[in-house]
Amino acid sequence: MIKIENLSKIYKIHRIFEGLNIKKEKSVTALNDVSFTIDNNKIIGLLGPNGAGKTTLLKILTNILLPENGEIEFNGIKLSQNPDYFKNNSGIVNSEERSFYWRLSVLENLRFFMGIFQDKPDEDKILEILGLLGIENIKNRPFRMLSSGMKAKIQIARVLLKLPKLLVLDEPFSNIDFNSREEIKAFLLKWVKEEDRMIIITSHHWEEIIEWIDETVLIDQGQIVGKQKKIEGKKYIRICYKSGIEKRIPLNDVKESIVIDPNFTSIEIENEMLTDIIKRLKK
Amino acid sequence: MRITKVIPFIKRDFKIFISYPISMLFSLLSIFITLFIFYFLSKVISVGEVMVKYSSDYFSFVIIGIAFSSAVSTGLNTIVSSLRNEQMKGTFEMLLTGRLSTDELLLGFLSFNTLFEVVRLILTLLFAILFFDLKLQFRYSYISVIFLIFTFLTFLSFGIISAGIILITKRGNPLAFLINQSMVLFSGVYFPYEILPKWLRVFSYMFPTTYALKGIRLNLLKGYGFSMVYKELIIMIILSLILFPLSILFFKYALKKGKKWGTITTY
Repeated sequence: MIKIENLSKIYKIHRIFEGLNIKKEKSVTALNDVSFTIDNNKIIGLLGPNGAGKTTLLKILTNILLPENGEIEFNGIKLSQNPDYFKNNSGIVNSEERSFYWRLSVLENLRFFMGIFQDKPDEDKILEILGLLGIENIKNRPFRMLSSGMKAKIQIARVLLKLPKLLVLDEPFSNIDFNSREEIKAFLLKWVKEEDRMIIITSHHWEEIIEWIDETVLIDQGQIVGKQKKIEGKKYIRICYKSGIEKRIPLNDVKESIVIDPNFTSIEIENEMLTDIIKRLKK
Repeated sequence: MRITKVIPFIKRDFKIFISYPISMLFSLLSIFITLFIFYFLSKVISVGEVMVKYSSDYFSFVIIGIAFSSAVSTGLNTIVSSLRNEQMKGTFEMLLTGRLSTDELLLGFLSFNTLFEVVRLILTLLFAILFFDLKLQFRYSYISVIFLIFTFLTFLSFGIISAGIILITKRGNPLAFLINQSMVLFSGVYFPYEILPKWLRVFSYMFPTTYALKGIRLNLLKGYGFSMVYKELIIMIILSLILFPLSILFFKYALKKGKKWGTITTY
């Protein structure tokens, strides 16, 4: 379990000159008094607009950044007392394709990261994880020759080599197609339910993850502005287009003036409260 | 410090290195080109009174200067260039999430290039001996190895401090540039520092390579033993023993500050 309490992060610019008083420092508050809890075997969705502080929070959780104030407890261990515990037990996936060595093959990349992630590297584990993700056949392909979907899967493979208790996913699906996204989500859903694992994920496109997450934490301008536990059952309008694209519009977002693409093939709405909307849509 | 954590870096850098075969070829070819240039240049340069105390010909003098200064400047440049590369490639954050200590990370950045420069140094001297008639005195040559190690550590310290500055300020590498250029000018890489005007020689005495190159030349070209070069050696040992631990402490401080101020994730 992870407990985040009163976490604040301020980016300070020109602080190097503080003592000399050469330039006044500017500061940007990225996180302001953030508190919430992540339970074991749960997937938390961290949702918010650009610049809300999502990535900063994830980087603090993985010990890439340090907070200004506040505390995080990871299985009872405090960040301020043992930052290495956070580094060793968490893993991050981002949408950054560049975080690999493009001259090397998939296997060579994963061997390198396994070497720095694990004290006793086990090469068979790499093949096992590639197999689980269904991408064993690309192991010898240079990283630069992979599609975006493949690269996203390699990111997942890399982080799993670390055997993290906390998996942090920062916009992991931004470059990948629907099918790859669904495959990865299905894989991770199974993964998180084993042992004491947790996932925290950010996304701008929450219709992509809303079904998948156990709890939503809404963040804006560095502050938590709302929390929502998962409501079982359907709580969205599903629209299937002729192109094969599926769109889910959450109920809270449905307004009277909803516009539907004329090329859709079907609309599915299941909620007694929505009779009125259905009538409007049928018109 | 676990050496097993450094091996993946060496393997990675070697694989990336051999994935550029033309660059690898040019790197070897450049050794020959340098030897050729200075071999023929030495034919038109007469050895003055100042140089005689080091060597009977300019070629031997300059090749020792170039080969050893190039090897020690790896310590200065590699950490900084590796850090910048990893930042630009977007891999630095991933390395920070690895189960690595700061010492292991720094050694990882450094290892392959250092090994490569040692091979380059050996090849330069070997080719010079085999094809250009360089005559070295090997009787006490272990002293030159000791010089090389401590000079490298001194330069490495400057490199680590420079990398620490980058983590905080996100700026380039002014320290390394200044030291590299000054080393060439004041330390006697291409000519004996003794020919500089007195007021400029003050700067020569401030540079560790001045003592190191003097000691190495006297050792390898004149065959001087420990009793003749111990002063230079002691200066190098003291400098490196002071600077190296300080540089590591500074880098750790810079890493912590970079994480706190957020400068670590931007470049």
